[in-house]
Amino acid sequence: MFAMTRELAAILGIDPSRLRLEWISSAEGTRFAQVATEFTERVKAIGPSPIRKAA
Amino acid sequence: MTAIAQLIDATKTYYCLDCGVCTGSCPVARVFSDFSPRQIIERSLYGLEEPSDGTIWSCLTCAQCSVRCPANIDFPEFVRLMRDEAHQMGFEGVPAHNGMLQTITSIQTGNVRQNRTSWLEGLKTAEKGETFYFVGCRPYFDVVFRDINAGSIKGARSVVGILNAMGEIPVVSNNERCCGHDALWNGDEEKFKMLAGKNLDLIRSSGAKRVVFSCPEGYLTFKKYYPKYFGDLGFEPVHILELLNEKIAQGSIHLAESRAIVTYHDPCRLGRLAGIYDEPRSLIKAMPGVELTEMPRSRENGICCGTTGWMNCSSCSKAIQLERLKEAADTGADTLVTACPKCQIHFRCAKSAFGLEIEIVDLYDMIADRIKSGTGPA
Ligand code: SF4
Ligand code: SF4
Repeated sequence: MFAMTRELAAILGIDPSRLRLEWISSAEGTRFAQVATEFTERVKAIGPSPIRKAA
Repeated sequence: MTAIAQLIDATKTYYCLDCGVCTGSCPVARVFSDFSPRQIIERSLYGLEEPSDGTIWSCLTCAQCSVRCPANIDFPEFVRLMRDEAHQMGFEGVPAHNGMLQTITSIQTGNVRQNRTSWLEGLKTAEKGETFYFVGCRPYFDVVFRDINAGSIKGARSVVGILNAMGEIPVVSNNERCCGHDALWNGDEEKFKMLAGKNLDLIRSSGAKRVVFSCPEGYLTFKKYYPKYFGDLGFEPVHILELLNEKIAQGSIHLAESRAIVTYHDPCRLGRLAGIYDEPRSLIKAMPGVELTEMPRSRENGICCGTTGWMNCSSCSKAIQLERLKEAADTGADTLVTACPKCQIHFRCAKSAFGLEIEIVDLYDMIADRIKSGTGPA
């Protein structure tokens, strides 16, 4: 399902790296924080989404 | 006047004779006894119907009832208007596939830059020109329904290959949007208009004089509903069947011989809604070695493929599909030919769910596979 969603995003002109799947257990708090921070930075670097409604 | 009273006026439903021919003809009512077009109409006439009635979403809008109605009541149109009303009040049907297909079309109402033409490699297309090929949602279907072997892109490649063999180099665009068919039939007129407006801008700026369709829904929507909402289009929507039959009659396309016994499923948008019954049949008969056998329910009586607009796919849809595929196999055919990418998906889904033998093949794949090399202009 995840691979399919990425593929659909690419056809729709949405950068597929805006999607990320990561399995993190409840015991891995540090890892969760690290992934969330990394991913937030990544999405910020890509810039505003093309599907955001024009103001 | 209530909203329902207004739509009774608009569709002249008050002429209903209460004869029940609609319900007796309806493939959904046969399986799902809570659904009755006659009762929906009667309740509306007596002021007892509400747009919140969930059964209005079970209708396939297949027009089996309306072609038989002695009072000429257009029940699919009545239901469409009722859904408009329901949608505005916040009621919806149950989207199939968790609403994925609805989301894909919603995203296309925005200013996205799609990459939907990567499958064109090796085929001849142009940026601008007289003829525009409107592909429809096949690039998305191909991904979403890969697990049931949708073959949607194969079909699109077949159509462009056929056009090339006919000497046409069509415009195929990354900026095409969904035609809006499903939004229109599911009561979301606003979404329909946004998608249609974007398509009209695109096609007008391409300089195309005609737009070729292989998808029955796209064809019907452009032919009937775009002019209804937007007036003169400035180009002509044509179905590839018209062009293809002409070329074959002229002898400029040659098809190789290949033995098969097939039966043909009339898609409701192409048959009952657009009135195209003979063209696909003459095309099948033009294929050397191919024998066409008809199912008992064909042409005006052809049964729907079981789901419309990616809504309310249920055990009722599956029952309709299973019955249809059995009917096809009973003709002695080994192949059911479809001329609609959605019919193909629905039947291939049922084929894999029930483990059936019959092959489900796209009409344009059949043609493309048989076109002799050297056909058409050098
Ligand atoms: S077939 Fe027509 S006239 Fe008869 S009940 Fe249905 S809508 Fe009414
Ligand atoms: S349009 Fe088709 S599904 Fe809907 S009520 Fe008529 S026959 Fe039944």
